[in-house]
This record gives sequence, C-alpha cells and structure tokens, in this order.
Amino acid sequence: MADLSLLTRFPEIRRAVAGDRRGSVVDSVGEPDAESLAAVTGSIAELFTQAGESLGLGEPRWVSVEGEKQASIIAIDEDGVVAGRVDAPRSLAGIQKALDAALPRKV
Amino acid sequence: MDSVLSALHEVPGVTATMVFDGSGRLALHKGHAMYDRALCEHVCGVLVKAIDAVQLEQEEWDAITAQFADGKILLHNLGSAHALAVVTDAALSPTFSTVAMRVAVSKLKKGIEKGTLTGITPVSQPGVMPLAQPAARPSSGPEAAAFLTRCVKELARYVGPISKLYVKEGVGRVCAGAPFTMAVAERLIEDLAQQIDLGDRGALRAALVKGA
Repeated sequence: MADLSLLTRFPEIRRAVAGDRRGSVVDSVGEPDAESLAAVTGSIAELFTQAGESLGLGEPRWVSVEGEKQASIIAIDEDGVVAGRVDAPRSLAGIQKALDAALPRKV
Repeated sequence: MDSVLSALHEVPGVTATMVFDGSGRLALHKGHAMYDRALCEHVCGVLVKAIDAVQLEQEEWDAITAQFADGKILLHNLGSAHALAVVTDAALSPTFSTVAMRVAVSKLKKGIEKGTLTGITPVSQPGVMPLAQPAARPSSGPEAAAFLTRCVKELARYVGPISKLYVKEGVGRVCAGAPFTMAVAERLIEDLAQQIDLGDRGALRAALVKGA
C-alpha cells in the first residue's frame, strides 16, 4: 500500500505521510517533519497489531485519533502505513466510513 | 462502578472493557471468558505504549479508534491519568455504542474525580505516568536539551527515525515523570544502550559519554 492518495483524496487531509512498517518515509505531502511522523505511525501500527493479535481481532485497518482541535488517521496494511492530519475533526467519521469501504479492496 | 462497565456490555458487540492508568495498571475490567485479567493486563501495557506514541504527534486526545478486520478497540481519555478501552467484535452498532460510551465516560470521569472508583490508583502515586501528558517531561536547561538532541541523533544511527520515541521513553523510565537533568545522563545512556544490538552498545556509549 503506502499510497498517499488513500488519504489525500479527502479534501480535509492536506498533510500526509506514507511509510513502511519499520517507520521509514516512502512519500509525503505538506508535512514538515515527515520522518518523525512516519517513525511514530510505524510504531503505532506495530503496537495496535500486537494488541489486535492478543485480542483475536485480526489485522488492523486504520487508527484514528480525535481531539477537540485536531484529528488524525492512519491507514494500515501489512506492507505500509499512511498517516494524515485531518483539518476538520468533525469530518473524521466520514473518512472512517470511506476507509472501511476502500481498505478491504486495497488490502 | 462495575455497573458502568456492565452497562457497556449491554451494547451488542462489546466483548471486553478495561480501565487502566498511565503505567498500564488495570483498575477495572470486565469481559467474556477469554479476556481474563492476565490478557487484559498485557493488552493495557501495549495500549499505554500506543497512547504514548500517539501523544508524540498529538498530545491532546479524547478518543482513539482502532479498526481491525474482526472488531475494534475504542479508547477514551478519562483524564487524571486513566483511559477506558472497549473491545468490540464486528457486530457493534455505532449508534448504540456512541451513546453508551458517552454515558460511561462521563460516569467514569466523575468517579475518578470523586475517588469512588474501586481499584483506581491516585494520580499522584509515584511511577504512574499521566496519560494526558507525554511520557517524558521536558528537559531542564539548555545543556540537557542539547544532550537529548544528541541522544536522538546518535541512536538514529542504529534504529532510524524511531530514535526520537526511544529517547522519550528512556527519559520517562529514568526520570519517572520529572524533568530530565544531566544528573541522570549516565543512566539514560545505559538505558538507550539496552535498546540496540549488543555489538553496537559500546560505540553508542562512547559517542554519548563525550557530551555527558
């Protein structure tokens, strides 16, 4: 995967980073510190993979983080991770639904 | 307060619920037979690390949702160094769960504030890291800040860009929540050395001791 367009097709996501599961940058757009974001999201993907395995939930598809003023979303598959910052936190639910529809076909 | 978790289990699709603190200590839990205490404690430890990693990029968070092939993990920040984790299968109804979760989070927050939650550890207890703050506190003084920057740079030779996270976690371990000072620099060097291959440790120590 590691395809930026998976997230940048949403108008609310203007900053995104695609990386591998080890945290190295593959591609990025609008993100000033792509290396840090890729490293951190690689680590988040790994930790949720561990949690999912322990709980029998299978492979992770995406992880979203919602705050009052900011939100972000990470799409995950076995090869890569794409992380995007969501400009309008209220639009997160719509992005989650769209990813649910898109990821089974992509993975 | 067990009733709050019981109410969540009335939502179709909810299979386990856990309340834990910033050190991963399980304060309350309820779940199907397969989700016993040992498993939940293990998972809480992993989730605390995941939350710490999230906070490196987004310090302020209310909810984290992890969607898996066969279910979800819903995390809610309860404040006062605690979080609620709800594990669900694919049958979860988003409408029901949103309402039930709001009610549960509100009750748990009040319970924590009033200290009425059985098993909840006071926030001020040593060793308990607040979830609402990053794992490591800022460094104390320019010398310490410069040293931490060097740690990130030197460690990156062995582990790549994730070194930033390793250093932050290392500072959290050696400082136990206090700001980093040069007084604990040697302990941090040793902690970081343990994160890399045996054969590389000497070189890392040598590079960092110069500036310690």
